Amino acid sequence: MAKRSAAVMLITPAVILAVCSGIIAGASYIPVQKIKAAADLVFSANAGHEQINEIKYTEKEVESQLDNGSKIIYPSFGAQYATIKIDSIDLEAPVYFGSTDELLKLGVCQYLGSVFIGEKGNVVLDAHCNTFFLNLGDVKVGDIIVLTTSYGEFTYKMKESTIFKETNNELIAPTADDRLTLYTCYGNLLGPTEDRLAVICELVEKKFYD
Amino acid sequence: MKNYIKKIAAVISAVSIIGTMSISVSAATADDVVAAARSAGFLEEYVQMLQNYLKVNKFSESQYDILVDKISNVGSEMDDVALKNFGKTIAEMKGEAKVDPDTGVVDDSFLKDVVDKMTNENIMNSLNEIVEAGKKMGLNITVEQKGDKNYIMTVRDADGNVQTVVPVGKLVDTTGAEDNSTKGYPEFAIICGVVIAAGGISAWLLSIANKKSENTNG
Repeated sequence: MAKRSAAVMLITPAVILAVCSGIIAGASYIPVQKIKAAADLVFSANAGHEQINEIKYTEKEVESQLDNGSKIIYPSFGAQYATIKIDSIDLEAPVYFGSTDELLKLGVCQYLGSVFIGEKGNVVLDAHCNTFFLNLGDVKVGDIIVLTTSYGEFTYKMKESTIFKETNNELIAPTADDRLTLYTCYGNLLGPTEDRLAVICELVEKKFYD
Repeated sequence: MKNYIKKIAAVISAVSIIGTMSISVSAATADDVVAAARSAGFLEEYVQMLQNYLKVNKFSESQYDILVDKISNVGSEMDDVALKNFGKTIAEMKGEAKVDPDTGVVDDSFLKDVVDKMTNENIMNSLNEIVEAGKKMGLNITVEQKGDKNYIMTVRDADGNVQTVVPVGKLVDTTGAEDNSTKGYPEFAIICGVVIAAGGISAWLLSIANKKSENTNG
């Protein structure tokens, strides 16, 4: 009987330890990944460029004039031609024209079916939900978003946010009004999901450089 | 003899006039290519992609001609789909579409219906027309199927540099976690679950054993 009691006394802490370890390991996985993603974001610049160098993009810029006489410089696919700044979520990131898996690792990507920044219409940008657009959901109505290019600075104000399915192209379709649409995956930080969070912003100011 | 020479001269002049006409007719521009895409029934998203591409990448008139020709072939493919499923051509459907009285913009939602009816074969036939156009223009265009009605078209110049990567079908990006280390999460969760379950069962067995020993002692 004493032997049995001793065994129980030895096994009980081990069982409690195993249960606690399992719970802690399972519960901490997501926060650890979040911290890792944030750390990667801070230290990602060099690693990303090593990966992108494997693909050679046509390097070309075409200067043109819009109907209103403003000068615009069209970037080639894969070029970083702007930066996005959202002070309210402490985001400042490069914007690449076009979208591929490789470019999404480097920064915020512009959907090819949207107008160039500065042109009239819908500018659509997207990024990973665990890196550059980690805190996109925290952008509030009225928050200011600034896109800066080599030819001008464009200021937008957050108007509304919504959730849409990845099969629905309505929000990324061309529009008659000037707007900025930002989107990222929604509802699952750790893998693919069908839902997207979209932040729709209205144009406040277009400032083309001389 | 004089009549014979006159006839030959007339034929030569007619041929030269027709030749001149065909040259002037076929001198296409980037705008003509965009117009051809709209006429063929391309969704506005794809028209915008084409516009953006042509703003950066310039071609000769003859190359634009090739594009117009091949895009018209895509239009024929879409017409076949429209006729088969709706009994009308794209142009006929466009003619019947609602027009916004304020803006004059034609409601092109019917195009989405036609595109939805396109099979993978229809899409591949259409993409092959673009690939063919690329070959004639000195471009290397490759198409990769990523899923059902989901393709990626990569356009490379003669030096192998990527000019553009165009999504076809699925336009919304996959913006979930890009870190591959997260891919093992389900397996990790299962292991944690097994450890917790094993711990729970052990605790239950221990409590039974404890009760038994208490009863025996009691």
